[in-house]
Amino acid sequence: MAGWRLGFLVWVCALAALTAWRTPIWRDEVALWTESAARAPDKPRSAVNLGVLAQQRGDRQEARRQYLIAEALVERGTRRCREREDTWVYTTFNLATLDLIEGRYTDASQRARAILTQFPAFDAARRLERAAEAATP
Amino acid sequence: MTSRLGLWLVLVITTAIYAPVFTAPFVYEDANWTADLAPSHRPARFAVPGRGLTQWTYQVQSDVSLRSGTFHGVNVGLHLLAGTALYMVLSALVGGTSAPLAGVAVFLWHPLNSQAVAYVSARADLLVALGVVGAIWGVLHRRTLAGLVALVSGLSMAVLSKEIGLIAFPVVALAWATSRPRVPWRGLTALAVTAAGVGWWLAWYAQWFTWRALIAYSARMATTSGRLDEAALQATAFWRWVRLFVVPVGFTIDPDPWSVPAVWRLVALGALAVVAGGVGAWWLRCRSWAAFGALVVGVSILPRFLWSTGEGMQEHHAYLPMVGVACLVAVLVHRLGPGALEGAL
Repeated sequence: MAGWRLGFLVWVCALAALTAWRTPIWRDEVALWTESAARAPDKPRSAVNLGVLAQQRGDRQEARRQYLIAEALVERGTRRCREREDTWVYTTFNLATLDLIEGRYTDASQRARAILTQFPAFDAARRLERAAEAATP
Repeated sequence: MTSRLGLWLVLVITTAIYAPVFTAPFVYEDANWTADLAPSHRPARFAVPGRGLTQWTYQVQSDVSLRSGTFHGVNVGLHLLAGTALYMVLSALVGGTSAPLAGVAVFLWHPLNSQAVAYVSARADLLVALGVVGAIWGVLHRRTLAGLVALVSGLSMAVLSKEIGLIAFPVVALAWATSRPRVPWRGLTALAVTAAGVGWWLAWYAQWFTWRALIAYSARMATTSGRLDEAALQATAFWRWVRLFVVPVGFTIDPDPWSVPAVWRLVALGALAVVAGGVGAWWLRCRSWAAFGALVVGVSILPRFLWSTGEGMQEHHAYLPMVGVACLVAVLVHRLGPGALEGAL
């Protein structure tokens, strides 16, 4: 019985220690999604979110790289319909935004049109398409 | 060690464990909630059926402060409250000091629960669990005014916090049936059917309005995978939880049960069906609180097999089933003998 007691207490204390070790990751969203990308490499959502975070800190090159990874994973087509569509929309829209910022107006317009073909009610894509067309020389 | 001192010690350690999140930012979907806290968005968001209470807590908090740390602090506070309520339930079930503390320590300290606590968007799971635990305590003290208040408040809290909170009805029915093993079958069946009927209707209501009316491209929510695939996916996610419970490493914010080969997903579903059948038979045979704990785990995940949510179960969804696990742990520790851990404590 004493051995059982000790074993249980060690296990419970180990749980507390593991949680204490785990909790700080919530202070760093990049670390959260990097971990997710490593543990679920076929899942495009991690790449999309890493792209968004890179874009937020002004690293457009890394953002584009992550979005293209996500796009490739989506095109591989191993995901379910809904998740694939969600990720495809976010990825394509974010790439179109990057295109617009970087002066690739034709690419931005094409991507926005691709979204609108499937989701005609997506107002942000329509605004982006108009902005790209207006900026095209 | 007195029970009160032991509980305080567990709560203080839990607070220390989660201290890093007090300075954590909003992450991932947290931004959705906080962006929607602007007054212009309130009426639409506040009207979401099934999550009104959760959204109300976000809004009340936003009036005080939009600092992410305060949102995390409330989540940690809810975790501590759920642990305290669970301690009261386990004390009523098994008595003594060590067994309830053992169950609560596993619930409060297990890293499988860390996502629900550290992720602001997972607050709904904390509120549902707190409501369900409160309702169970109410069932155990149903002959007192405090018990009835706890029962009604707990049910209301669970149902108003998240769609999955509807399982509070069958859990209450199970707790009632477990606490009164000699009740005739007819009465029990009537209660179960009534609870299931009410739950089914409310679930339909929440499902319809939440997932179809409020999401712009709802027509595309249908998946290419069939019901069997969906169920196999959730079963795979469940066995991942079991693995994480036993070997608590390898957590992630976004797991990928689809990466498991299809044949193994089906094996996972078959194994889960066998275990569920076994647990059901166990409860019917002995109506013990250990079987009740195992059954709470099953009931907590059942809605995921009935409706498509579009995702495999995540770690924060394990928070409610962990209430059942804590019951199971407390009863098992208690059965090892009176004061099984008293000496060590």
